[in-house]
Amino acid sequence: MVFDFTETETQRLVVKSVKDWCERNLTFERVREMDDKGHPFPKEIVEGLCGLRVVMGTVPAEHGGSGIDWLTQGMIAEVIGYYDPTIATAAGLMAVETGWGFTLDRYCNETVREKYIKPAIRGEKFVGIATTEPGGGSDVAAFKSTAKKDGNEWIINGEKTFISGTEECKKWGGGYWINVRTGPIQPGAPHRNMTSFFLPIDAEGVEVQEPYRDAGRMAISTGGFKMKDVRLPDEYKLGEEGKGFYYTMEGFDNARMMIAASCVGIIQRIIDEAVPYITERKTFGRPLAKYEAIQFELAELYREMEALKLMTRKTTWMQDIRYKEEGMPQKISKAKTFKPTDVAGWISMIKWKGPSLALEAARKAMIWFGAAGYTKEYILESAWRGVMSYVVGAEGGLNIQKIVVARELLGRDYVPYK
Amino acid sequence: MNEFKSVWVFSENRDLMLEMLCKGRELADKLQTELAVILLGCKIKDQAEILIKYGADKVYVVDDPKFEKLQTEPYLSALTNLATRYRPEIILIGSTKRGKELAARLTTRLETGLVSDAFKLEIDENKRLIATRIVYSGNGVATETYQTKPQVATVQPRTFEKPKLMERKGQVVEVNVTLEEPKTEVIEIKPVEVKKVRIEDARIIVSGGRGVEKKEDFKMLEDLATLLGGYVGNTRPLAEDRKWFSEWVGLSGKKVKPDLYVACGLSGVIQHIAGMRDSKVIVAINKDQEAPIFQVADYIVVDDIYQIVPALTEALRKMLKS
Amino acid sequence: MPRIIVCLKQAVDVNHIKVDPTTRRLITADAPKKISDFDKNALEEAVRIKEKLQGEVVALTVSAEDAKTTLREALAMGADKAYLVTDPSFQDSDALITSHILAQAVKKIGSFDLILCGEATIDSYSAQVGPRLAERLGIPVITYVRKLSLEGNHVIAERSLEDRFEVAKARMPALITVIKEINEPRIPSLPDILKASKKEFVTWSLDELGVSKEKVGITGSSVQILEVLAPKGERKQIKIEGENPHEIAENLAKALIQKGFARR
Repeated sequence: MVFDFTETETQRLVVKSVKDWCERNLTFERVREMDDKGHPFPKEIVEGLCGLRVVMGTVPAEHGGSGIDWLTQGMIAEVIGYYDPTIATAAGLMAVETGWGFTLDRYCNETVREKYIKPAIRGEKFVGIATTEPGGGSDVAAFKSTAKKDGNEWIINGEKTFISGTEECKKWGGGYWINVRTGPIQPGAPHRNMTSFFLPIDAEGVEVQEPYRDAGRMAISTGGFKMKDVRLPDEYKLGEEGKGFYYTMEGFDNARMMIAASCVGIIQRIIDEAVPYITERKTFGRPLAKYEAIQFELAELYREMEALKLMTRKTTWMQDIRYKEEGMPQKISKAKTFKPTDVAGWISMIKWKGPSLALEAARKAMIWFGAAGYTKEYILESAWRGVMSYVVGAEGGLNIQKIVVARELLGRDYVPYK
Repeated sequence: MNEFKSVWVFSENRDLMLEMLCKGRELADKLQTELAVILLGCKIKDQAEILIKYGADKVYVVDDPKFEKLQTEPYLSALTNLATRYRPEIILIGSTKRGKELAARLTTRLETGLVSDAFKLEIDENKRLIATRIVYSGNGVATETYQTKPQVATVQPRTFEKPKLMERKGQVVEVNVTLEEPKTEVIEIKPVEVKKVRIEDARIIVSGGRGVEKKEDFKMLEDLATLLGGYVGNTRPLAEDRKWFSEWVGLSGKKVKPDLYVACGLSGVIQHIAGMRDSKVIVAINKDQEAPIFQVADYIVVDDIYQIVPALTEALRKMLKS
Repeated sequence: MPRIIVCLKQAVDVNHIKVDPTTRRLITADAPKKISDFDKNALEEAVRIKEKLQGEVVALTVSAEDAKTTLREALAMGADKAYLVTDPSFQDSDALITSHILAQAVKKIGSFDLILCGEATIDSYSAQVGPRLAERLGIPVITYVRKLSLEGNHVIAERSLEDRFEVAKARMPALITVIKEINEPRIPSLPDILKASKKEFVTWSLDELGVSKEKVGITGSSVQILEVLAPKGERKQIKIEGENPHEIAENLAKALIQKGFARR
């Protein structure tokens, strides 16, 4: 039996532990308070989940992680999305720290690992991703930040913006994965000459900007920083010079899986909140659930959620196979079962489907609830505001995912940006 | 071997013993057998006669200083000895924590069945005891019976009414039993930590739910409660979400069974109902005529608590004066 | 170094029980199962003792075969070894029988210093199995314990009774039943769970314990459950009406006074 959807005992127990923890610590009241109060993200939530060792769980045990697979990590993200449907916790701890942190661990050297990654796994520090620049996010040709070699050091200049967790990083210590140019833009191949570094937030010349006033997922900050003649030793370079684009795509892949998985949880939560409401609440003498206009939408939502869940679990499973075959560090030539682009296509599909479906679920449920759904008495409005951040752009906007999927179907000749 | 007969009652708690005596009388009459009280204690002989007036036909007395410390083993050996000697058909034991442990151990020694915390006891057509109890934290009511004798059940305080004193005759039997030494040693006794009024002990509770808009508005509930000689209670959201109170009535909070429960502006979610369903009389006041609380209520008022509660207090005050 | 046996029951999660609306029968089959709450406190206490004094914690369950994941959770919480006694024939056994099976299992496990149980289980809440097991093994029992410590060959336990707290001392081996207040059970971490999958897990059938199949289940039990129904509200459902709130209030007040309330 190749296709087996049974959860293993370990998966069941891990999911139960995270659920039990969230039942105690990520209650409705707590999440609402976090969303009302805004950033910085509560440290005890980070420490608690890191104490269960489920943040960056996929990092190998010898690097301080738990060495679990992405399939299981995805199930953990589902639970976290369920309990914090504002998506703040999943955004900070699953997408950014786990998705990007894991990838960072693959390409960083021992110094960065000891000083930053291991403490982040323990919940002491924060590691994040800073790719987007004022000139653009998905459009890598627009990147302007640069690094110039000076002896054994690099001198970095530029600016990053719409970065998750800048306030938390500043407060707890830590740093960011940044991408900069280490050579001129090559016509037709703007992704070349891009190199990745790890930038400690407290490095001299880093100036953290005031955070944005976001519409949702208020518990975690979004900000930016300027880098002015920041000197980084060569050991803060990630992987090989000029390969930053590929590492970044891998990081995006992992982060996007986490977002899709947490959206599964969010939609499940919305359904679980809605069912008692629409069965108890009556209009014109009948429970709301008796109206086809509502029950059909509920049924459709459930179908779509299950589809998303299956797609997400298949995608994480594919990624696990890919990592297993390609070894550490990734050697693309060794891939057997799936081409990396196969997996990227699936990841784009779930990143496209997840947040937009969660947004749709929140929107629909708010309409079923009527005015009550628009209030903070229910989680719906906070989910609606929160997941919107992943529809508009975080971890790659909606339309960029469509381009990736179409590219797989039509070939590179039809990409709109060429 | 002798046939099993007679109904026995035992509790180290006197009130509870009397309550069970009342139920025991009913069962003994149905079975046309005698009702006996097992009276165990130190210098208690003089309490035996009155138990006959409360309905017992017989009082077995074991008077021994070993009972003084309330440790299980002396009680256990006395009851085992008596039950083996006189073979009762039914034994009711008071469901205090001590009583529960005692009953479980006694029935193990007697190799027989025990139903814990029965709230209803009946005799079926085969003269078997049918005991009913709450299971699944209030989600179920189990009806159980026995395949062995004696048929033993524990009974919680305030489950049955106390009997009335009557002029009747009976027999006091003093028994000598060799009592076992306790297997544990009590090295310290501490008083129960002082708490404010325990809502579980309140005879009347006026309870508020989300329909009470501001904490100050609890004043009108308090006024009513004070007039009735009761206390105020509240639902979980008022404690956990609004942080007005530190405890609440409900499945996850306090389980209460007062004589009167006045539910004001609370819808009656299942978790709340599980905590107050056993109240003797339930009054529900709620604007929403569909509120589930009405399904468990004896008196239903579909109206605004802000109108009704002060008016009720006023009306009661007037009627009590006249 | 104490050897502690913790008896765990796999109980139905009472919050997920549904009711058949026509028969009022409870539908417990699809409700999720878990380690009964207070038994988890017992396990936590055992693990804490082990962390202080070393020794060994053994988890013991008499249950249907699906209790494996539940017992694995006990291993993840810190038990060193798990024993599952499982046999289709003992379904619906009462506490008299369950304590007998447990006693046989305890004897087969071998020497021990302490047995810890929860005060009662969340589904049946009868509080019988702990004291019954102690009686069968002929060891001292201290029930309703909220504080526990070991001193040499003795266990010292603070019992929470209705009227007082009692600090009791007993020679080991002894059995203790604990209440919720004693601790907050830990939530196992991912590495704890991964480690648990490598711990020893023993499954016994009734034959292996020398317990006869005729003496268990419904036939062997002393107490027989006739039916379990959802409680029905036998309430009067009298609607108090009136022209205006004052009249309604007066009518309600009359009813209450008639019932004997509001008399000083």
